[in-house]
Amino acid sequence: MVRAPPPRSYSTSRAESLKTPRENRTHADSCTSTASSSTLFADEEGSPSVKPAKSRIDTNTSASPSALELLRHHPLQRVITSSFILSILGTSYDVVFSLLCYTPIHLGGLSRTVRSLSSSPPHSDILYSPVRSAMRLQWGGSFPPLCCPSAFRQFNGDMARARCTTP
Amino acid sequence: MYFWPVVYLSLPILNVIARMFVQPVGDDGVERLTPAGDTILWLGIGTVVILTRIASMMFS
Repeated sequence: MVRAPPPRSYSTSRAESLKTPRENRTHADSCTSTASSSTLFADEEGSPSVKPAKSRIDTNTSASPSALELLRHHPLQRVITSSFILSILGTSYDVVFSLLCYTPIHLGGLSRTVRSLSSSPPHSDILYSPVRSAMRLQWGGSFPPLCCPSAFRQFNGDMARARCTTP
Repeated sequence: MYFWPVVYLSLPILNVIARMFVQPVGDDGVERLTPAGDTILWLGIGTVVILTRIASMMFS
């Protein structure tokens, strides 16, 4: 009696993701492919004959979480929410500041002219660059925890735990 | 995140500074500031812009 080989599971690593489509195709043809890769090849080539048999598909859901699972991740929810709020704040500030600069003073503005304000963005960059350099030195090249400190603490804790558990 | 209320609340302060140093309107109808007021207003605009850039660092 011949014992069937155990099912093989493949995890998507960075090295596999950097392969060319041709390399991926030969890899999928020679080995048991996952469900997502077989569907992708069928879409790229347009021929349904590329699809492997149903019994050969090894679905490893833990290796590739779905978008819904990603959205249920609590730190990701907080980062997406804060990014959404920050986008609104930044865009509205750009509009309000421009309107404020060109509005007359008696109407609540600054009564600036186009000619005088045209040089302010480069000057702000010149003034801002030492501040940015100092903050990058302070936080080691990463962004400062201004956005959502509790989420970043949790995210950094998860990353540290992942580094400790990864061989 | 906590810089944004400061940034938004500093905009009316700039207008208050401009009102403090505004000169009477001339014949052309354009409001002008005194030289000292102009300098202080530009310093205020620079401060607000730097605060905005610091608050925008959370995007990166």
